[in-house]
Amino acid sequence: MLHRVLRNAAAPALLLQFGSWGELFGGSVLAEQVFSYPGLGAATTAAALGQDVPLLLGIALFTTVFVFVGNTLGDLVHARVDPRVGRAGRDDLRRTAWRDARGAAPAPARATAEEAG
Amino acid sequence: MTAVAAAGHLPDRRRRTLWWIASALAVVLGVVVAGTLGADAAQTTGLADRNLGPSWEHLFGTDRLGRDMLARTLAGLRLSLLVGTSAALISAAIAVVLACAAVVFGGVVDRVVSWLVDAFLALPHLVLLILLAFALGGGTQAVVIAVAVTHWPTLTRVLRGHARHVVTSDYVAVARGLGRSGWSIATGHLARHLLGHVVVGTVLLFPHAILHEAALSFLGLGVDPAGPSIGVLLAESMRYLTAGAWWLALLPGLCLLVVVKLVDTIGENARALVDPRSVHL
Repeated sequence: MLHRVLRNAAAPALLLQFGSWGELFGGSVLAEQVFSYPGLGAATTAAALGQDVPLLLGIALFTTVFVFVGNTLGDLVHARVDPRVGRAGRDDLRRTAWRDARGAAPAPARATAEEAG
Repeated sequence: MTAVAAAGHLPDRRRRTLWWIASALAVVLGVVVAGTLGADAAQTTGLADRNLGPSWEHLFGTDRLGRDMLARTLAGLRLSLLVGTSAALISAAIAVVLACAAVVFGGVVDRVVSWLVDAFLALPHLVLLILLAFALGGGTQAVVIAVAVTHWPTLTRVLRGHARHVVTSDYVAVARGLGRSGWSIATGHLARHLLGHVVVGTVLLFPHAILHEAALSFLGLGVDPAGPSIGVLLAESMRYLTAGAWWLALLPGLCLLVVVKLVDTIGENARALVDPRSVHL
């Protein structure tokens, strides 16, 4: 049962977990204030209390990049774990390639039909 | 089904859910009333009674200036609940307006709203909260606005999903065919269907709003440090924790946890009433 349940449940669960990667920074703000760790969270608090606008904006930009990276990683892992998701993207590409090549395909078919008929 | 329910001595699930909502609501309102009544005691300092542990006279002990911690905790909970309520209501109003506009008018409006939701969700919400509270200058009003502006995206997404489901139904197509304007469709059809989800979404926003207000006050960016918000109480307690004054942090924290859990219970039970399938899964 573990095999079946885990395999099917893992894909969306991983997607959601990677989506919350950016929230690490949110949590670290409070934790570092309590335990006085010198980290990015403490830097955010110090910047806000000390009116340091460039530092605040820089941290905001950096955390946005982190959120984006987390979401992208989640998509990649999701595609890897759930083969149906990955295949859909590749199928689309294959389908458009086949549709483009169809302009050339009917001509030989018509030629063979004329030959036969 | 009613026959079966009447046969047993336990009330049926629906009635139990209503009882849970009523009792949780009563406790939360009681906290607000008690906080209002105890506002004087929360500010009365007694320098002879500093840093006393919990006793029969001071049920939660006293803080460094001799103020009764129980009164301070209740006053702080009242402030946190008021700020959380106003922030959640503003957030819900923004979410309803944007979700209805996106669905009824479609096209460009829909894409703009989706882009806005994605833009706001791109930042971790605590970082965005700090940015906004800083930009607005701190204080109670800034906290309310900042919490409201950070919490509307998730609710907008949910409401937009439900609203799209309503808009693809037959009666809305008939209304459009009869020539009714977008505004009248929104108020007539959408509002009735979304009302349940809006109420549930708002009540489920309260815990987030209360906790974020406490977090901002804890960091010093929120309400005025003189006012007894739970975050301010916890921030003040940190200095005395190592000296052994455990009641300064543990008891307000526990009360915050209990109140947030109560509001969450109201929200979850209201959601069970509005959307029963989410409970049975």
